[in-house]
Amino acid sequence: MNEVMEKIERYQVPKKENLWQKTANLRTSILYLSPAIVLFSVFVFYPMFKTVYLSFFLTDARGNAALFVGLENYLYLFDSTSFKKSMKATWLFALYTVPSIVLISFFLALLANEKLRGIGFFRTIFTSTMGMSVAASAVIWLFLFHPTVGVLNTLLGYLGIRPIPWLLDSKWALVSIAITTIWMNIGFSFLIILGGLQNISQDLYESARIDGAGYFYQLFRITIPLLSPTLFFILIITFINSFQSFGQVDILTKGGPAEATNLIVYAIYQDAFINYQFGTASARAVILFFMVLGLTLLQFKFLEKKVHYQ
Amino acid sequence: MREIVLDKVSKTYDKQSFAVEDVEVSIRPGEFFVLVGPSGCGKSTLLRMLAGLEEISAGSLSLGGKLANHLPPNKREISMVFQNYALYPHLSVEENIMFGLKVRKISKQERKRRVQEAATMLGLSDYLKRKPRELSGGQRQRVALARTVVSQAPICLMDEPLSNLDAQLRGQMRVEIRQLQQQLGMTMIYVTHDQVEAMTMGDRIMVLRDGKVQQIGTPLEIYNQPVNKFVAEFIGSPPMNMARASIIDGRLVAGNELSIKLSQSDLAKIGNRSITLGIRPEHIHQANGQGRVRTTLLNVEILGNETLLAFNVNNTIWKAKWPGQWQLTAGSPIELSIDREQIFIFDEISEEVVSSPFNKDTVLEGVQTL
Ligand SMILES: Nc1ncnc2c1ncn2[C@@H]1O[C@H](COP(=O)(O)OP(=O)(O)OP(=O)(O)O)[C@@H](O)[C@H]1O
Ligand SMILES: [Mg+2]
Repeated sequence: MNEVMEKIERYQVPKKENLWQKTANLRTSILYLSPAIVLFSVFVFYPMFKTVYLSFFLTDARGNAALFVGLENYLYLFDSTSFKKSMKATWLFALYTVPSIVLISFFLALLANEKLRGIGFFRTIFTSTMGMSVAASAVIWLFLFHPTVGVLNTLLGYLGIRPIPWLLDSKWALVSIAITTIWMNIGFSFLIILGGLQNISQDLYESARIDGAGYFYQLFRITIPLLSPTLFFILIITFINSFQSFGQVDILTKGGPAEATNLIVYAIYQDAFINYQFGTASARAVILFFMVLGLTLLQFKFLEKKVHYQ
Repeated sequence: MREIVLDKVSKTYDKQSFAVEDVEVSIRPGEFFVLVGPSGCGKSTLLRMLAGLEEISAGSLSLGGKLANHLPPNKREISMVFQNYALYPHLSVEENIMFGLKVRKISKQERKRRVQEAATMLGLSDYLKRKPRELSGGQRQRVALARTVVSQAPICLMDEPLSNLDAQLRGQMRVEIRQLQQQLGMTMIYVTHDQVEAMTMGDRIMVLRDGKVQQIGTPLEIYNQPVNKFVAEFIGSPPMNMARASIIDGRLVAGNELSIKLSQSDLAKIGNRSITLGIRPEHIHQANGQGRVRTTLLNVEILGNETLLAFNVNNTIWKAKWPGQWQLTAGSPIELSIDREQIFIFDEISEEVVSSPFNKDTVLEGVQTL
C-alpha cells in the first residue's frame, strides 16, 4: 500500500447514510426529469418501439399486428424495385439539396457579414423563409411552377426558352422539389452560419491583414477552418431534413410522376395510410431511423474532435 | 530605420465628436514609446490608425519621410500584438508563428530558421506542436511576441498586451518585452492604461485624455513636471493628493485641516484665481513644524517596507506614503507636515499648472528654507 492510501485510510471520516439518503440525488433528478420522461415516452419512445415491433409483422388494415414474419418485411423491401427507386430518389434529392443549401447559405452569410450600409435589411430577407410553414412555401412554389401561368415559365418565355414541365415530367419533378426545399431551408442555415461567422474574433482578420493576407487567403485559412464545426453541423442537419422531407412532396407532386419523387418519408406515408401496409411502412421507418442515426453519430464524432475552439 | 511622424492626426467615427484630435508627435527609430490614458481616451484608435486598420480622418502620418496615410497595413512594415493575442485557435504554435511568413511567401528553410530562433529566444521550443488553448496565458503572450520577432518588422505596435495576465506575470513580461525591444532594436509603440507600465517601460510617454494629447515626455519629466492636474493625478501610485484651496493672509488653506505659508513669488503667480493644491503622497511627512496638516487618521495600510496613511483634507481622502512600518491606530488624531518645495498648484478652471517644484524661483526658495 502506498503512503497516500495509508494516510487516507487512517484519517478518513466514514460517511453513514441509509439507502433513502444515498438515493437522494437520484430521486431528485428523476423528479426533475419526469415531465420530459412522460412526454418523450408517450410521443417518442412508445411510437418508436411500436414501429420496430410492427416492422416484424404483417398487419391488418387498422394497423394491428396480425402475423409474425420476422425479417420478411425487410427482405421484401430490399427486393422491391419501388423501394430501390424510392431510396435512389431520396439520396438523389439529398445530393441536389444539401450541397446547394450549405453553399448558398454560406455565401449569403459571407455577404451579410460584411459591414455595409443597410445590411440589416438583407439579413432579415435572407432569414425570412424560416418563418414560413412548409405548406405555405409549397403552395407558393406550386403557383410559380404552374406550367402555363407560372412565373418561372413566363420568365423563361421572355428569354425565348421553351416552358419547362416542372412538376409534370419525371426528370424535372425531383429538381423542382429540390428547388423548393433549398429555398425553404436557406433561412435557417444562413442564420446559423452567420452566427458562426460573427463568433470569429475580428482580431484574427486584422492580424492577417497586417501580415498581408488577401481575402481568399483569409477565407480559406481562417474563416473556413474556424467555421468548420458550424458548417458540419449545418451539413448534417440539412441532410437529416432532406431525408425527412414530406410536406412539399405531398403538396407539389404526391410522390409522382412515376414515383420519381417518392422520397422515403412519403413512401412510408403511402404504405401506411394509403395501402395500409403498416408492416412494410414500419420497416421503411426503421431503415430511415438507422440512416439518421448514422449521420448523427458521424456528427458527434466530428464535433468531439473539433468543438474545442475558443 | 524609420521615423514615425504624426501631424495633426484626428479621427472621428460618428462625425460628431473626435475620438482622437490633433495628435502631433514624432517617434524616433528604436524608441520605446508608450501611449497611456484612461479607458476610452483613444489609445487603441490612434494605434490602429498607425497600423492602417482604421482610416485617418484628417492629418498626416508619415513613415520614414513618406506619406503613409493610405498605405495598406502590410506595406507599413509593422507587426502588432493584440490585447487577446489574436492567435489562430486551429493552428499549432509553430503555424501561428509562421502564419505571416507564409503569407509573405518566405522560403520554407528561412521560415523554419526564424521560428526556431524566436522559439529559443522566448522559451517556446517545447510547445511548438501545441494548440493555443493548451497554453497558459503567459505562454500565449510569448507566442504573440514570437510572431513579432519572426516578422522582423522594424516597428512593433502593442495594444495592452499584458492586461490579461496576473500581476506577477505582468511584472515579468514587462521586463521581457523591454529586453526584446532593445535586443532587436525595433521601434515600439505600446498602449496601456497602466501608469506603472508606462513609467517602467517607456523611453517617452504620451498621455492622452479624451483624444487630446496632454503631455509628451520621458517618464521622469511626466512625473516631476506634469503640465496639468489630469497628468499629475494619472501618473503616480497612489495618485497625487488634490484639494481645493484658497489663500488667506498669505497662507494656503484647505478646509480646517491644512495651512501652509507660501512664498511671495507663488502668491504673485496665483493672483486671485481659484486653485487646487496637489502634493504627492511621498512628500507628506511626520510633523516637523513646517506646512502643517491636522486631521484624523482614517486608515493605515502597512505594505511591509512602507506604510500608507489615509486621512481627510477638505472632504477628500489623501494618502501619505511613509517608508518603514508604522503601527498607528485608525481614528486617532494626527499631525503631518508637507514639503513646501514639493507643492503643485493648479488653476481650478483651466487645470493648468500655476506653480510646481520646477518652475519655482529655486534660489529664493533656497534662501527661505535656510
Ligand atoms: N469602431 C468604433 N465605432 C465608433 N466609435 C468607436 C469605435 N471604436 C472606438 N470608438 C470610440 O472612440 C473612443 C476611443 O476608443 P478607443 O478604443 O480608442 O479607446 P481606448 O483608449 O483604447 O480605451 P481602452 O483603454 O478602454 O481600450 C471611444 O469613445 C469609443 O467609444
Ligand atoms: Mg483600447
